[in-house]
Amino acid sequence: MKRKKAGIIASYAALTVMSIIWLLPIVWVVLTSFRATPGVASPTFIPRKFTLNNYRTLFFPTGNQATYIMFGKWLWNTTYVAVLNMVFSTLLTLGTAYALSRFRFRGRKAIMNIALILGMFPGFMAMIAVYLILNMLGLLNRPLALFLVYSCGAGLNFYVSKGYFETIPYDLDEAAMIDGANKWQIFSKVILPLAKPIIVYTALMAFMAPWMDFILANMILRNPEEKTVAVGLYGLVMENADLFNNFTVFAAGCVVVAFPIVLMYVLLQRFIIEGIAAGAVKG
Amino acid sequence: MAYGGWARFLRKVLEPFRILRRFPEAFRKGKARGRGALLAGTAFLGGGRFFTGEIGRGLLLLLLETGAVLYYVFFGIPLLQGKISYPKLGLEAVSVILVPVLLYFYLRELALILLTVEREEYREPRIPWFFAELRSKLLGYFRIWKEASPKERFELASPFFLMGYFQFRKRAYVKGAMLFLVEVGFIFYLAATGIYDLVDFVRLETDFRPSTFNLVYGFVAFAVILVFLNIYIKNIKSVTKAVKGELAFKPFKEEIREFLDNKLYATFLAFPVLGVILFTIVPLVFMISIAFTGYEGASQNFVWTGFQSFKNLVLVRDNLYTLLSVTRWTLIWAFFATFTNYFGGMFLAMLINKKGVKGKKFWRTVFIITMAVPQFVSLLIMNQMFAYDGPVNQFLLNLGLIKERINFWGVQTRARILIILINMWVGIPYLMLLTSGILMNIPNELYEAAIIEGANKWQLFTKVTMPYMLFVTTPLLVTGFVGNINNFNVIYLLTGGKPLGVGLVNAGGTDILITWLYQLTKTHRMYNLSAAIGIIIFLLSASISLIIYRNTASYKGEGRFK
Repeated sequence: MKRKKAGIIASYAALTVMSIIWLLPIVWVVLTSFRATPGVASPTFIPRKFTLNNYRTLFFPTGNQATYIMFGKWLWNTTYVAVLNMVFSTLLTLGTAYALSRFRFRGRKAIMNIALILGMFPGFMAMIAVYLILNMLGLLNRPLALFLVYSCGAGLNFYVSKGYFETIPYDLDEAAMIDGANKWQIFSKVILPLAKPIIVYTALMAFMAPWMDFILANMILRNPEEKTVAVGLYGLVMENADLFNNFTVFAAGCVVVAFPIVLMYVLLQRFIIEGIAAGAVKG
Repeated sequence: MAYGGWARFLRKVLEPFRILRRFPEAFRKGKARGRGALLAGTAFLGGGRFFTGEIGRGLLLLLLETGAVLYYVFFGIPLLQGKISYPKLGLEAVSVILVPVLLYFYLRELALILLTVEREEYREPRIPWFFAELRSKLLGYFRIWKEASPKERFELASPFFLMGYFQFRKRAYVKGAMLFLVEVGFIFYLAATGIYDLVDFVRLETDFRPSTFNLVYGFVAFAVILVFLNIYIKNIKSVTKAVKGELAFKPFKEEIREFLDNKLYATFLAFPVLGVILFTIVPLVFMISIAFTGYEGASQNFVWTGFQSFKNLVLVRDNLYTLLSVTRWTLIWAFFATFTNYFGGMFLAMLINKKGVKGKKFWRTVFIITMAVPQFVSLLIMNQMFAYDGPVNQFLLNLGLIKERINFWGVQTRARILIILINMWVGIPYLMLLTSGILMNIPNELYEAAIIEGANKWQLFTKVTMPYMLFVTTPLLVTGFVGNINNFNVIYLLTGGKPLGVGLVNAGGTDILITWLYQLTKTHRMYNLSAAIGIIIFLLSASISLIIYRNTASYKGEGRFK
C-alpha cells in the first residue's frame, strides 16, 4: 500500500514539473506583453513595471511603427479568411469523406492512393507553382487567395472524418433506404446528426488554419495591410530591424491571437480529443 | 530476444542458405519457366521475378541493383582506393558494410525465387493481362459491328464523329446538346490555343511569354485533352450499349436526380478533385518538370535540360557533400523528433490516466493550453528565449549556474539538440491526447492474463502495452516520420538553418532537406536544383513509408465494412 502511495506522489511530482516546463514560456510571453521596458531580455522574470502601452501600440501605432504595424487589419483579414474557410472546407472535407466511406465506385481506391502519395510530397515544393498560378489569376497579395488554396486542398483531409463515418453502423443507412430516403437524405438526415463531434473538429481545424499557417501566407501576402496575423507578427521580430522596440509589442500580439484560440480549445476539448482519437486509429 | 532468443534469430538469418542448398535439385526438376527464373535470378537481382510474373517487383529490384552498381562505380571503389574523399561522412565505412548486406539481400531474393519455383506459384503478370483485356474488349466491339445492320452501323459510328447525334435521335435532347457542345468546345479550344500551347510546351522558350507560363498552359492543354478523351470514350461505350438495347436514356431530370442519390459521390467529389488538381497536382507536376529544365536565376526563360540538375546535385562534389550531410541530419532529426514525441506523449498520457491520480481533466487542460498556442508563436518565443541575451541565459546567470552566456544557437550540435528538445515541448501534448485514447482501449484481459503469469510493471509495459501500441499506431508513426522529414516550421522558425554549416553549399548546420530547398529557392533562386531535391525528398519519404507499410500487420485490410 505504501509503495502505491509513493507511486502516486511521484506521479504528481512529475506532472507538476512538466506542467511548469510547459507553462513557463507562455507565462513569460504574457508577462512580457505587459512589460514597460522594451527589448527581449529583462533582468527579472517578473517585470518591475507593468504597462498596457504594448497593446495600445499594437492597435494604434504611432510614428515609424505606424507604417508597418496594422494589427487591426491583420485580425480582420485572418478572421474573414478563417470564417470562409471554416464553412467551405468543412463542407468539402465531410462530403469527400462521406463519398469515400459509403460508396464503392470505379476509381475510389485510386483516389485514396493518390491522396496518400500527394501527402508524401513536401508541401512547400508545390508552393512556388501555387505562387505562379495565383500570379496568373491576379490573386497575389489578397487574403482571399489563401481561402481559395486552403479550400481547394480541403478534400485531402478526409481521413479523420472517413474513419469516423465508418464507425457509424451501415444498418442505419439501410433502414433509411427502406424508408425511401435517397443518399443525399441519408447523408443530411442520418449521418450528419450522428457525426457532430467530427463536424465540430473539422470546422475548428479549418477555422484555425489561417491563424496557424505561416509558410504559404508569408509567400503570397507581402503588403503590410494584406497580411494575416501570423505573417504580420513574424515580420515584427524577424524581418524588421527594430527588434528591440517591437518585441514587447509582438508579445502583446501573440497574447491577443492566442487567447481566443486557447479559449476555444479549452471549451471544445471534448471534440478535439474525439477528433484526434478518430484520426489515430485510421492514421 | 524473447522466445528462444538468439538461436531462433540466427536460424532465421541463415534460412536462405539452407534453402539455396536445394538449388541444383530444383534446377534439375524444374520446367522451362522455373529454370529461366533460376538462371535470371542468379544473373542479376530481381531477374527471376520477370519469370515468376511479378514484373513490378522485378523492375524495382533491378533499379536497386543499378543504383548500387552506379554507386560503387562512381563512389564506392574510388573511395576505397583513396582516389576521392568526402571527409566526415563516413562513406568508406558505408561502402564496406554495404557489400555483405547487398550480397545477403541477393541470396535471400534468390532463395525466395527458388521457393516460388519449387511450389510453382507463378503469377499472371499484370501488364500482359491489361493488354489481353484490351484485346478482348476490342474484339467484342468488332463483333458487335459485324453483326449490326447498316442502320445500326451508322449509329455505332456516329459518336466517333459527331457526339450527341445519337442522343438527339433518341430524344435525350439536353444530354445530346451538352455532348455536342463539349465536342465543339474542344475543337474550338484546340484550334484557338490548345495546339499552340502544346508546341510551346515542347519548345519552352518563346519570345512572347515566359517559359513558366508555357509550362502551365501546356499542362492545362494536357488536362483538357485527357478529360475530353475520357468523355469521348465513355460516350462511345454508352452509345454502343444503347444500340444493342442494353441501355435506355433516361429523361434528363431523372439523370440529375441520380446525382443526389446513387451518384452522390460524384457530386461530392467534383469540387474537391478539381481543387486538388488545380492547387496540388498541377503545381507538383509543374515543379517536377522544373527539375528537368534550366530554370535558375531571375530570368523566367529557360529550356529543357534533361537530367542536368540531378547530375549537378550528385556529380558536383560540394553539392553531393551538402546533399548527403543534410539528408543524414534530416533522417536523424525525423527519427528523434518522432520517437521522443511518441514516447514522451505516451509517458505523459500514462501519468495522467494512472489510477489514483486526481484532477485528470485539469492536467489535460494544462497541456491543451500549450497545444492551442499557434506554433509560429511558440517557436518564435522559444527562439527568443534561448537567444544570446534572452531570458534563459539571464536566468542561469542570475542563479549563478553559469559564468558567461551560452551561445545556444551558434554551435551546430547544441542547436540541433535544442531543436529536438523544443520540438518535444511542441509535440508531446498532441501525442498525449492521441495516445491516451488508444491506451484506454487496450483490452483489460491482456493485462489480467499477464498479471496472473506474474509479470511486473515493467514487463507489463514491454510485453503488453508496447506491442499493442506499436500494432495500432504504426501508420501513425510512419505519417509522423514523413511529416517530420517535411517539418519546415520547427527548423525555420527556430534557427532558420543557422549556424553556418562547414563545407555546405547554401545550407546551414541545422537545415533539413526542406529548409535547404527553401533557401535555394527564396535566397538563391536555384529553382531546378531545389525541384530535384524535392523529388529526392519524395522518393525518400515514399520508400520509407512503403517499406514499413508493407511489413506491418495493421496495414492489411481497411477494416470491416459491409
